[in-house]
This record gives sequence, C-alpha cells and structure tokens, in this order.
Amino acid sequence: MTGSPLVRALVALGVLLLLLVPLRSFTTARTKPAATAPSTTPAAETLAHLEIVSTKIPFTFAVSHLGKIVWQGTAASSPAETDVKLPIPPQGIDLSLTITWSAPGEAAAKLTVTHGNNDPVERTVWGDGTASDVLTYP
Amino acid sequence: MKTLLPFLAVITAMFSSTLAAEPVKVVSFSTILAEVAQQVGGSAVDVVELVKPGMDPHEYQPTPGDLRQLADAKLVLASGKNMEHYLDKLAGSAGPGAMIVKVGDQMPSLQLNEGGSGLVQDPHWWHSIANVEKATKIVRDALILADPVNTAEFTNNANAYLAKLVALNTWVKQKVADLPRDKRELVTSHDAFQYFAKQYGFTIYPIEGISTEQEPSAKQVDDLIATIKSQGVKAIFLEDTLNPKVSSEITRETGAKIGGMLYADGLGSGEGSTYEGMVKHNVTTIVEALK
Repeated sequence: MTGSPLVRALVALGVLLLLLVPLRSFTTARTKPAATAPSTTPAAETLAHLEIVSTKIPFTFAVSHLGKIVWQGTAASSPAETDVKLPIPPQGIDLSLTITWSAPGEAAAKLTVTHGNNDPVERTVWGDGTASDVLTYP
Repeated sequence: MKTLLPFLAVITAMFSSTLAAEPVKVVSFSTILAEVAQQVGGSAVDVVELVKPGMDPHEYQPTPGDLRQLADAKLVLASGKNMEHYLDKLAGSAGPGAMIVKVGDQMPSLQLNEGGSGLVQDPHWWHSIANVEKATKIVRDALILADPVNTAEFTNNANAYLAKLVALNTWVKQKVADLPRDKRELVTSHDAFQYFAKQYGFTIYPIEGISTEQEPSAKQVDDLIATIKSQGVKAIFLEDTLNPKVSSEITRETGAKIGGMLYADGLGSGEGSTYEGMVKHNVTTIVEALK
C-alpha cells in the first residue's frame, strides 16, 4: 500500500458505505403494508346421492352437513335414498347421521355417499334404539 | 397356642388392612398421565407431578428434590417416545421394585421429518383421544400390578374415565364437523398437533419443530410464509413458548390472524387444567378461528 493516507481513508469509507446497504436491509424492520387476509373459495356444490340401508325398519333419520340438516325423514322400507347438492372439496366432507329405530334391540345403519365419478363411500353406525355419529367421507 | 390363633389372625388382618390402605405412590413426568393416574387410582393412589401444569416438558430438567420423590415411588409414569430423554439416567433413583412405564412407547408413533435429525417419533400422542383411551388402560393395568388388592376400584374408575373420553371424542367430532374439510389448515407454534390432525382431518404447518427448543431459521420462516400464502391458511395459533417476533412477522407478511392460544404440551391453568378442558379449549379455539 503506497497511496496517500487520505486516499486510503476514502477507500475505506467507500467500502463501509457499501456495506451499510445490506446491513440496513438485514436490521431494519420491513415496512411493507400488511398483507390482506387470505381467502379461500368455498368448494362448488355438486349433486351427491345419499342412501341409508338399515337392519331394522321403520326408522327416523336426519343427515346434517356443517350444522344444517340436508336430508331427514321417516322410512318404512330400506334403503331410503335421495339426491342433494353438497359442497364437496377434494379433502371430503363430514356428515352427521342421527337415526332412531322404533323396534327395540341392536341395529345398524349404513349411509353411502356417491358423487361425480367417485366410487361410493359407505359408513356405518350402530345403536340400540338410536345412534348418532359424525361420518367422514371419503 | 390354640387360644392365640384367633388373636393372631385378627392382628394379621388388621396389619394387612393397614397395608392395603396405604396409597400407591405414583410419580408422573406428564400432566396428562398424572390426571389419568388420579382418575383411575382414586383414593388408592398418591400422585406426585414432577412436570407440573404449565411447565414445558421439552425443557424440564429433574431437580434433586424430584429424585427424592422417585425413591419411594411404586409406579413411575412417563410420556415416552423420547420426551423424557433423561429417564434412563434416573432409573437408578427409583425405589427397588418401582415400575417405570413409558406409556407412549406402547402405542403407534407418527414419524416426523425433523430436518437434520431425520425421522423422529412425535411424542405428543395425547392430542389423540384414542391414544388417551389406550393410556388409561395401560395405567389401569400398571396400577393393578402395583396394588392387586384394589383391582376392582381401578377397573371401575378406568371404565368411568373411558366413558368420559368416548363422550369427549363425540363432542370433538361434532364440533369439528362444523368446519369444512378444506378449511382445516392451521399454523401452530411448534409441531405438537399431528396426532390431532390425523384423527380429525387437519393439516398443520408448524413454525418450530417437534421440540420447543428448536428456533426456526430465517429460511424456514420464509418457506412457511410462502406456504401460508399459497394454501390460504387463515390463522396462526400460539403458545407462550414462541418468540412473538416470529409470529408477528408471519401475520404481517401473510395477513393470517392470530387464532388464539393452544395448550400443546400438556395441561395448564384455567380451562386447560383438566384433559377435557384442554381438549375443548383447543378444539373450540381452532374451529371458531378457522370458520
């Protein structure tokens, strides 16, 4: 190093100034505006076929989705079936089934859901006089 | 001698009943297992909690006083799945004949990828109610081995507690059913809720790893922010162990809201002072924030 002390000091100052830029970006809080809350589009409704097969008849039933009854009634024969529109995302849905049999003793009921080109998915509940459960599809 | 026999029999019976009345000392390294032991054991057990409600079991270190508690324990309960990494060293402090039961080791494990550590067992099995049902049966059987005289009481108490757990699981399923399955995505402080997620169809994005001792790197936080944005995750759930700077950066960058505080590593205070309260608090907080 043969330059004058003044030149060397200026070079050192320049280097320090250059270093300040990345240092500032590392140590200063980001001032970007807050992002807006993420939004998810609800799944589109599709026509689903529901079928209840029961070991005992008659039976009274209610099927709920997201807290709302989507199908209910009393069936004098088995199976009972209907078509309803449901928002079914790729992750699937939960349906709550409550069923009451007038005949005493153990009984079972199978709720099958079919929609689109998907294979039917069946879930079963058991009970004595009544049964209630949340069934997950698929 | 013949005249002495009835007297001796009475003395022996009195001595035996005195012995039988002595509660079984149970030492627990888990707040959940302390509750299970108390519920199953009833008045026939004396439960000592070494890891107390609100303590972080990942960072717990036994004290000399804790070692003294182990000395006369008949049953030592641990979460297992490597939660109590110090347990093998402590085994010598337990009294002769003491049973050490690593409860979680007797149920299937979720394996989680912990980066540099590779696949590790997830120790937070109690966030599955089905696992707590298994734990109840394991504790019942251990208590029966420790104190066969009270078999009937332990069996009856366990059945009553199992019935409560079945009802709790029904409540959780009904509560979670209010939430569409495509909204069951959340960010948690550390990776403690995978058993819950598996049982009830959630996807969890943790800020920290399995243990609260692991701080996330800047790259991990950036990756998480990108995931939250791409997946549209609505809420972040906190524990008091997380560095608030990290959560505030994530909420600022993503727009996700703070969904509330969860009990992750065991029982705490207030609502979370019982297992049922803890589960109901966590589920209600999650469902209401994600709706």
